[in-house]
Amino acid sequence: MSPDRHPAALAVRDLRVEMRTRDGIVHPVDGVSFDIRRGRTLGLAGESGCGKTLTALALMRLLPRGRARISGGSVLWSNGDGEPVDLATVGEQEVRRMRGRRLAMIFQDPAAALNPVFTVGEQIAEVSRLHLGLSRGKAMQQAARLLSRVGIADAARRAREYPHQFSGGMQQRAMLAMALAGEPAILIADEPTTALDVTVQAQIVDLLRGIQSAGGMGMLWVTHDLGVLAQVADEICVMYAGRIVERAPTRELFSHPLHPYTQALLACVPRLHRPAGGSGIPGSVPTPTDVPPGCRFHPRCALSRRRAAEAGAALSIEGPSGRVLRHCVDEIPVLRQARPEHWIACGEVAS
Amino acid sequence: MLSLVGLVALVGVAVLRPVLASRLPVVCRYEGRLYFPGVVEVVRSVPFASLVAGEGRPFSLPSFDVETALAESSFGVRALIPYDPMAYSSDVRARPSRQHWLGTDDLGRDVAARLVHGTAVSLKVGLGAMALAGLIGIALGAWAGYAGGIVDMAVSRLIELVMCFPVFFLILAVMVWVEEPGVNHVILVIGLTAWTPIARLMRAEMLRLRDSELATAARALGAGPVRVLLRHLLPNAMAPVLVTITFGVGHAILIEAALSWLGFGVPPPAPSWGVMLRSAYDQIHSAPFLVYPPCVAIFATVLMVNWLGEAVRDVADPRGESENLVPG
Repeated sequence: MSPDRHPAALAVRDLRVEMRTRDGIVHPVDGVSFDIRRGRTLGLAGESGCGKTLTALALMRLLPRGRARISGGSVLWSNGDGEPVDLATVGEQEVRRMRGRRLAMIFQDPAAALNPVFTVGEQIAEVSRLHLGLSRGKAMQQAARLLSRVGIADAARRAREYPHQFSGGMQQRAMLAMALAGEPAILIADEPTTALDVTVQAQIVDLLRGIQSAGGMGMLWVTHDLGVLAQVADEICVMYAGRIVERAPTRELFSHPLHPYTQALLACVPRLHRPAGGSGIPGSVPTPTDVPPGCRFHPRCALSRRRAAEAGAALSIEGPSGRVLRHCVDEIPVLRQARPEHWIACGEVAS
Repeated sequence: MLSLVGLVALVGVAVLRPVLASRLPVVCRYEGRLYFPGVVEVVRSVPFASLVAGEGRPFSLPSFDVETALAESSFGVRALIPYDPMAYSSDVRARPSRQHWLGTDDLGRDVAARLVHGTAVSLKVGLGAMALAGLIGIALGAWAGYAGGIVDMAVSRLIELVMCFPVFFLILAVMVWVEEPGVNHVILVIGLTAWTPIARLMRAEMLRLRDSELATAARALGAGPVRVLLRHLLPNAMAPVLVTITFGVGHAILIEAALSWLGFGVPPPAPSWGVMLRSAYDQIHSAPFLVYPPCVAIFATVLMVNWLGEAVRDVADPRGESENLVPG
């Protein structure tokens, strides 16, 4: 993966999202960095509530108004020529021009995201009229072309139908057609297959892979499903409680998972020739109001507990969920390179 | 379904009232030329029709005496009820007969003709007032719910303020204060006070939709706030609001009837169901048959409007569990 062949279209640096809650200000996304490269897919994995969807929304500047905002870091968009634009700070007008045109997004539940009162074709046409300035007739033709491109048969007729006449998989295809209508350079997919049947899931995965490799689009694929990421992602970031704990190319991550959290996640994926061991990770992702100090994973970390038992009382500390290593509580682990192209944030794993 | 057909028929009656009940013939031949005085009246009663209709023959009323014309004419079709709603006659308090289907009132006016013309007043008040109320309620409610913050604050307080007015007495006060009260004043006052339930409902719908995936998806594709609000959210918030507006029409018709009955609505010579009811009430002993036509008309119309409201509610909410949304 050479940076020259795949220049970063979106460079996210130390992104922080601040949220106002009853218990004060919290940071559900706390210093996240990654690059989305042209023609490549970056996977963002983690359990529910670890901040991956908020990260995706922050890139689009779509955080719920009045409740959450970007409080630090930068989201640098570059077109290959000219000065990069920082989406974290640029004006609302400018962001609106970028949305749908440079960055597009598809969502988990297409049934809720599509507008039930307009035909699918009208909704797709609206995007190309807005961004490409096409006339109504041209835009409708373009909508039919896009629908057939996302694998909908008899597209011209289906374009005149309403979303409720589409099945779940078809609705997600229609959403994708809308996202593609502005010819974006980056597509952010937030759990795009989670709400779908397994068979339909596979179709959508194939479709997105095909479109991406043909168009040279950069893609951020947000999901809790590592199995899907194994099929689509070139590189994977594993997120936990608002931070990235491990980043590696897909093959590398699956063959050498280093972070205890990644290992635990992978152990949860059921396999045919392995008894259903592990049976999940004890505990749950801490809420942003209540993040543990040091390494945020330490209360659930099997490695830390095991090492603590070996190390003895001097190096360990009694936590609410058992004895863990003292430095896991005291030190915030930073992302460092452990193997070629493989970065991890854990003080316990040797390089 | 029945209610829809009934209401469409009522609107038809209101629009076609010059053909249905008028002294003018629908068609007649006078000095060898065909005239359509009744049809011309229908066209003229449509707002802004005069802009299209010229002063030339098809749209001009012939200047001749109708009775002479019909006497001389070899061909003429009279209206179904060949009386003007405000034409007096010496035939006072006539019982219903073949000549006067519903009888005549204390001034010898044909009740059937007045009933037909009263339809227009009631429907105009009902639809006009709720159109105004709907416009205000939808605009303010949507704005408050979508914008939130200080706008929401201000609009919510305004809603509470207006809801505190005893509407009926406010209308009475205004009608007394206005020099020449007419239908338009009734419409205006009802419209300016009946918008609060609509606005509240709209605001709630917008609060729900504002942070929905629908809105986020529209924004993600580059739609600005105005486009998101008007094109993506508003059509999806309309269903419950339409139900409320429909029920409001029946309510407005009742208010108009009550006002006219009290003598604060449409000024008396004009045919209005409330006015008719008032004069019938005054002579309930000498001519009891006069009470029924306006009563039945008001009852049937409001009933049909409410049935329509329920039908709209069933369509809008297939689960069939809705709270009562009647305003007022």
